[in-house]
Amino acid sequence: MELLSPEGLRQDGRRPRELRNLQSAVDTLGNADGSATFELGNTKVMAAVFGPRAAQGKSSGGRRDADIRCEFAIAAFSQSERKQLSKRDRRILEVRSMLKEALKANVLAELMPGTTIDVYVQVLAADGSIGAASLNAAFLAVADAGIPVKDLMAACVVGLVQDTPILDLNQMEEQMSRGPSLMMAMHVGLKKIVVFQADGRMPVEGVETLAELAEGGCQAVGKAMRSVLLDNTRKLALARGPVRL
Amino acid sequence: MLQRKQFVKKTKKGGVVKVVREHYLRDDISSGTPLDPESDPAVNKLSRDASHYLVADTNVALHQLDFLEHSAIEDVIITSVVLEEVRHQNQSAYQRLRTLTAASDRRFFVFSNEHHRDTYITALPGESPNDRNDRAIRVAAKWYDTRMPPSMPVIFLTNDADNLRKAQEDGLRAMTVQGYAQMRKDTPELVDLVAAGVTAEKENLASDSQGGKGAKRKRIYEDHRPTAAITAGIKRGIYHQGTLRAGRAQEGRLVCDSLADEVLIRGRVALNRALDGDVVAVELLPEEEWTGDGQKTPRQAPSPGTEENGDEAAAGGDGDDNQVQVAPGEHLEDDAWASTGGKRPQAKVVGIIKRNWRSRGYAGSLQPPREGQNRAGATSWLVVPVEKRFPFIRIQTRQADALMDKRIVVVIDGWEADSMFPQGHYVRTLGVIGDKDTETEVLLLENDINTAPFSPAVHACVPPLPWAVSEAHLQDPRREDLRGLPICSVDPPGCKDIDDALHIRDLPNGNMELGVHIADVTNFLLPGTAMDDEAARRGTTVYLVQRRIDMLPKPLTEDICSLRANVDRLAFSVLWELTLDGELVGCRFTKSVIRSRAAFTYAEAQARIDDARMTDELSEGLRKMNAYAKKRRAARAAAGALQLASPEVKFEIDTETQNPMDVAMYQIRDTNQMVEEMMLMANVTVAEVTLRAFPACALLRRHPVPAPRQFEPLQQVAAATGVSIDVSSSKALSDSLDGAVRMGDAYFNTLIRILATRCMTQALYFNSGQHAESEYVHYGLAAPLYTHFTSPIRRYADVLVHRVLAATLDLAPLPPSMRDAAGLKAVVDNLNVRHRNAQMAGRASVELHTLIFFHERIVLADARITKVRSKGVIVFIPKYGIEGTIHLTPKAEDGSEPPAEYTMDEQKQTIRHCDGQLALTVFDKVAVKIQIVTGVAHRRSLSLEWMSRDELPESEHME
Amino acid sequence: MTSKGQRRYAAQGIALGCRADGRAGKDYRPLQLELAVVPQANGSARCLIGASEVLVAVKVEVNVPEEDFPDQGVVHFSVECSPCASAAFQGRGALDLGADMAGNLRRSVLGGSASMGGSLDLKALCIISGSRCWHVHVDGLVINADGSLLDALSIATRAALTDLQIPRVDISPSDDPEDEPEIELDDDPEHAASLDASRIPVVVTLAEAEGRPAVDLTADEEASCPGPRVHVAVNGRGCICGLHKQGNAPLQLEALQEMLALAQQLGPRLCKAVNAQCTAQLHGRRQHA
Repeated sequence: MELLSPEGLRQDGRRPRELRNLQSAVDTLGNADGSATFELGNTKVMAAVFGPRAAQGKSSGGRRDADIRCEFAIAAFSQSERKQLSKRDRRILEVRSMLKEALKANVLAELMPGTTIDVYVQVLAADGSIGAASLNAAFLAVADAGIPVKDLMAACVVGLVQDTPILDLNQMEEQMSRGPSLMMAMHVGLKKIVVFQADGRMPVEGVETLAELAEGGCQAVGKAMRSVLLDNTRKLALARGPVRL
Repeated sequence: MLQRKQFVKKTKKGGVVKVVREHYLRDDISSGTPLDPESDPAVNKLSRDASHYLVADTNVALHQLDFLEHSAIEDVIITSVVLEEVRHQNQSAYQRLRTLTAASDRRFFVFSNEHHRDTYITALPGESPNDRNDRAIRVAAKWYDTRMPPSMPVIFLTNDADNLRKAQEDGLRAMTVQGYAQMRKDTPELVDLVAAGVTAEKENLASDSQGGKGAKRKRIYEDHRPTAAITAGIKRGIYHQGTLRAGRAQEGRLVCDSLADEVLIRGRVALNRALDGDVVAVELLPEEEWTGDGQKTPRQAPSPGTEENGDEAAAGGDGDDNQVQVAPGEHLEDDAWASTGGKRPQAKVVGIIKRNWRSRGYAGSLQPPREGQNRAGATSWLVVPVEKRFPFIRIQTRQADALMDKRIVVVIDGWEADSMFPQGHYVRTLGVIGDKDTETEVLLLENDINTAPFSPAVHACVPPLPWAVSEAHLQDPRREDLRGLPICSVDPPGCKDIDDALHIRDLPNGNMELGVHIADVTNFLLPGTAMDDEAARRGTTVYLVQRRIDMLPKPLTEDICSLRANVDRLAFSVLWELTLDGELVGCRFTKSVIRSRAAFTYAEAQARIDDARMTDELSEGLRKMNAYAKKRRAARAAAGALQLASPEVKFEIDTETQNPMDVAMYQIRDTNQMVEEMMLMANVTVAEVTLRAFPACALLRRHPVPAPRQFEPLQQVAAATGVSIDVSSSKALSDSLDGAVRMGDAYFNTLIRILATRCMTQALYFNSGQHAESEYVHYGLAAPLYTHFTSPIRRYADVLVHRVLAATLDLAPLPPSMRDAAGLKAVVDNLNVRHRNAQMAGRASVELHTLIFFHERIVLADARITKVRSKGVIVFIPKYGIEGTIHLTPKAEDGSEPPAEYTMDEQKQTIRHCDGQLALTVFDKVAVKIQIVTGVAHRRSLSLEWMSRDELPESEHME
Repeated sequence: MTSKGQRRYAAQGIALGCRADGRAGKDYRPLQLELAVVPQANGSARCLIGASEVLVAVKVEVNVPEEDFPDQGVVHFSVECSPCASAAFQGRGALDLGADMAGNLRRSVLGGSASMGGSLDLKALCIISGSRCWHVHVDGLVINADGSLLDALSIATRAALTDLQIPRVDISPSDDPEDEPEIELDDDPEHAASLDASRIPVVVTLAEAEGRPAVDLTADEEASCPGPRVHVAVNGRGCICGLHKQGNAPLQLEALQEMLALAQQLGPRLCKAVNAQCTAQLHGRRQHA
């Protein structure tokens, strides 16, 4: 399989440094305190946030910060082959712990002592870069819930195909590529890396080029997310009318 | 800039799944021509000044590559839909097409029509994928047509009648490749390059002057069964699948997993258009139709009368009567067949599962017209392949006059059931027949030997010259400094790629140390580099009589790796400790730095051994080593190692003409055997050590135990002289060979050994994880384990073994590729093919030089009969290392069978003239007259004639 | 948590046809339906009833038929209640609810346990008798929960099965019955087959508010009407295809009859609405192609 043609086009017609069609929305679910959907091409993820609400049970009662809990699920129908992954599946657990760690690094949990924040992420359609899309959806939902965070956080996946760094791998590229891949999430304003997960053998000099491309990807994704959040804020402001004191 | 389109594709992957992929359409796809201001100048390839642009459809790109590759074809637009279709259908055609589009000196542009906003189309309801793709190509052509100024016509090339018509309806200038080639009056040879296809054939039929054939030609072959029927038939056991091995074009044999015995396929009709190497499905014939082993293959040609048949008669049928030249061992297969008594299962081909037509083509020459036949102006010709295992190939050419005395390359395009011979087309001319350079090209092509210069990427892997051992090498704790040892090398004269060097010395404890030092090639040849990939592909250096085609670039081969005298070199050393009685008490391996004190030839080393006055350290060492080697050799023989003989000849080459001036048997000295013994010892030791460390990924070499049937030809001739050969084990065979002596006939034993050598199968490289332990054995060496370690400069197998050994010693990690069983198997399979091809090419080069040597020379020589046939004898001429047939009954002019003058006694291997005067028995000494017979247009063949031995000068008598 | 009085007030409102959102007792909230929402699935639909949102995706695979029904395909149902959908969907409860609704869907579509097909022609899913057939997986996912989940799931199921495209497979002949059959896939979407979903019923869930039957309760209203629930599967012609009473609160026969009458009245209307949406969207898609 020729993932990158000598003409410089990927199988789906993108050039190496192009994202797929990106769409996102916030406030998509009625019951959750914050919710969002995030789409990259044929990958679609929804996320819901419940909280912060008062923690129940002994374990978290005396906490001096908010307890962030995550659940992650992939719908059985989301991939080409129907597959029901158990909650205990390694792939599920890996993404779940990545989401939790990344959110903990971003949410100002110390401002909300004795509370619990539940973040639920559900993959509806899977076509590569699932982890990055999930984290983006989760962040949007957290922001939609009005939870204070350090900075806007965005994630993307980059990989090396035929020695060329490519941005935003779809499922075919993830499966067929023999090169290394890297998922990165960063605080786009602070320019700080939050998640850096590399798979496959990677030459040292390759890391730098990949990381540079990933940073560019995160910035582009972050820009799109920011505009969605701003639009939503504007809509809310209009709906509420002028502030009365 | 991105538009999003989705298309849905279903594939089967264990079941049925729905696959969704995005398909983005763009507005920034370049058209590759400076005539389009929107096209990116950096990628433009098409010329502003071309007289026209060409757009090729998929079938043209697939089947007309020779035409496209011609330098007169430029300014061609290849659409991405065409590339994709070609890639799916034929990987090698895809590579060739990609080479064309990547070449900087060719103007072939890839237009990514499938992602262009204006040229992407979706299938119409009911439109097949093929039709949709054809339409996409026409849409792209039309796009160019409208975008280009009127001064730049766009020509759409297709050989498909339907596509042609539709293109014309779309207002495109569309033509067939044939039509276009004819239009190109500037380059008349283009017409010849057009591959025969349906369209071309139809045109031919119409215009053929000899024509007059009806529209419907007579069916010669049975139709091949459809794939589904073949698959079902194989499952049910009525058909059998295997790879066809053809000794000649009209006969093949097949080993099938599903059948115990090898099956024969006799005659063109039964072969049903299958070629050597094709994977075929066969159906067994009823037993009453098995013809048994005649001495002559019955012709199964259809009833005479057609023009095709005339050709076949002229071709001289079987071909092994007018044998040109025979390398030792080459035709043992033919012999093995004919001599086996009884009937063998016979079958006919019902279908071809995988064609093995060579994309690189077949070397051959035009079949000259028969005497009295006027073929002036004819365009339909038969090409006689150089290798007779391939059928004649019909081509269309207008340059027959110019090609008549040339070796040409042709490829096969197809083979219809109503055509006696396959259809092909001319590709290129190699040169004049018989010319040394031309024939060398032929043998390189036939054996698929890559003579292309190394790519810049490969050269980039070579350290710059002058190269020297550095302080870092000496300081490396993994490398021992062995420069103080009395090391020397022993090789054939003129050897520049010195792989191995040796030493022996006394140790303080009274024992001796024996060392074998091998060039440390893997220090320079790193896994995964461009050079490593290239070396793996080449597999081996190829040695021709006066040419060497290297596996590694010259600076490595001749200088940096070569263990030359008096310079420091890196080596991989094996060191043994021996008692004075020759008992092995220790062995170790190390990477080292050595300094060889002398590079001897075998003769020089032998002279030092033989000259008792030489008492220097090296000479003494050689003597000790030789004594030890002899001891080991005797021990190995006692264990059942075979001492075989394969006569090698040596040419004395005229330095000016590069032609052979004299030819003689290669002399084997003690020193040859000494070096061989040392190398065997090193190889066996390395095999044992690496297998122990890596039971699943050691690279070994095995020599399968031959089936008893393979020895039948040897046993038959030996029995005729009262000698019995026991083949129950290699030990038994070895003893039999030792016992096969005749009083006063020293050469008899050598002859028997030569014949025994021919009964052997090829030794093969393999990965230890790939075979059962019981199959590791090397039969010829009577060794349970063997590998190749000692020639890494010229054999890639040794490179892999070096890497495994280095990993065994913890000097370097095992390359991950060695653990990839499937990947390694592909590499190893290639090594076996390359190894065999290199051997064949070497032999062919020797044959070629033999032929040149006998040119304009008539020689009388002493010969020995090796086989008796019904109308002649096969003789071996030791002096020149050649074998050939002496026809006692000359062929009648008209090809009819002459009256039988001779009777043959197969049991006694004797042929007797009916008047009782002459009786020839196998192993008899006979005199032969050797000369070259020149036929039409430089076609030469070697002719052997029986002479009375009285006419042989005394000097030519063998002992 | 609402007080007893509030709950009573709400229930009375429903009974009197004056609900918090202005609806009458036998009114559904606005229905939204969208087809082909999951590109990876062979058929899918998203259904919103008010704020309740569900997704149903259908995927097919080739597999072996059940031993007792060699000439039939197999249809599997599953429903997952995503924790995104409601704060109540955490842990075990959501699993039970999902399994419960999947069982209900299964009964309404396929009928009884005899698996005779009910509203689907299972024989149409047969590929090779006794050896290969289509297995159809109907996977529901609750995205936002605000009452009438089963009603929404049944509507989405009907729509997704209408949307379903089953690729055509050709079986290469094999003379030996022992052989594994070779299945060739025809990847031309033009040749794909649809399933006749016109007889699939929708589920109307009825509750009892102050002794009067009511439909489409929101989450809040559900809390106000603790009585029995009756799920009635009704097809387009008003025939009752299934009936399932949920909860252990007792129910009067007259009340049940009243409920059935209401279901028979509403069912065909819902079916009609679903059909109209499906036809419009499928037609639109064809036009687009």
